[in-house]
Amino acid sequence: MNWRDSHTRQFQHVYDEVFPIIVRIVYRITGDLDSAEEVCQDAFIRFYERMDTIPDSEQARYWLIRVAKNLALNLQKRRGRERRAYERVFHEPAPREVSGETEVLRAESSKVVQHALDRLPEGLRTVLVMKEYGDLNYKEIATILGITEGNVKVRVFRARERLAEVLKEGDIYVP
Amino acid sequence: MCPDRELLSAYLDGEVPSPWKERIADELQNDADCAAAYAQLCESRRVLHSEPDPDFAVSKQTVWQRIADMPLVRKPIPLWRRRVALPVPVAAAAASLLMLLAGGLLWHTARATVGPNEIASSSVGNELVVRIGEISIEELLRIINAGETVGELTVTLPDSATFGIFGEPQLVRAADFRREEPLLVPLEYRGAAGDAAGDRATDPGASAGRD
Repeated sequence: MNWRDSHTRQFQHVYDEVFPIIVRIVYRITGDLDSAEEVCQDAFIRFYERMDTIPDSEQARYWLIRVAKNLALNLQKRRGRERRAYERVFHEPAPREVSGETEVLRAESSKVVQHALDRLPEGLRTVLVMKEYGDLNYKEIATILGITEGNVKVRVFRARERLAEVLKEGDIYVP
Repeated sequence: MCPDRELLSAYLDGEVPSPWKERIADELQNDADCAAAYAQLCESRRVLHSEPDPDFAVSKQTVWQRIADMPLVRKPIPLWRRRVALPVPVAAAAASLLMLLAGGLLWHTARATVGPNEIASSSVGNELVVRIGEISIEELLRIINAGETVGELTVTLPDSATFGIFGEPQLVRAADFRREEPLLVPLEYRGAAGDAAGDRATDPGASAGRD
């Protein structure tokens, strides 16, 4: 990146404003911080390359959230395909990183919400994550996803209902 | 009356405007069932925020440093997607000029396609000369019928006139009816065979009986 470029200041302004939003959303979709950082990096690189075609910072915000969300969902799908392929070839579940019983229990308890979110359909999960972790209002979510505000309202409600069912079915302890 | 759970969900998100927001708040204080339904929605939110977030401030610095170390290049904007800023007077003048040019072109085209529509005729003795632009056949017939003293009529068609097949030629109809009969009879046989062919042509029963 050319630091003398005037675009860099504009880029940094958008980065400061949007990064905290998209990293929270992407983290809740991918489920781990390393992947979230990679996705955010990829999204901002794409944004830098296309900065001239995006008219203002508000549009940049929507564009970045949409791209980061899509990248995160694609990453999740790719991981799912890889896991299924592994299980098909070796006829056993994909290995998990185990570093002791205590660590496993700690990791399990910290993944309760993530597992519950993963069980929601993609359309409901995305909207709920944007609402709860991205702190976006219905209008902003509707603009990003290209749906109506009414549809956002319905999806958020249904996502909450499904989440309650999932937590109830799993008898999951929530601290 | 307690609102439905979907509305309560929107209320939880702060998406219900006044005065409905205040009414729902009153209802939640007075209706135990309503308050329980709302508490369930609040619980689902609490679950979602029960795990502490990682330190995203560190992630922000890390990712920024990675991006800063990369040799990024902005992609050039394609010509058709470039935004052009024009002062209003210049834009108005350009629009006026464009409209003027479009109007002139339209007028010129219309004038060229209309052509000579008038009918010029001159009568010299018993001869009537009619020059036709684009007129209907009825108009031509009216002129011919009007000229009672005319012995000879000359119709001059425009150079650009084009002709096409219109309707089914009578010759084809006759050939279709006679099927196996040669339509064109050689001149030397016209006297004998032509009469016989002509008879069959006017008498469909003769041909059908032979089949």
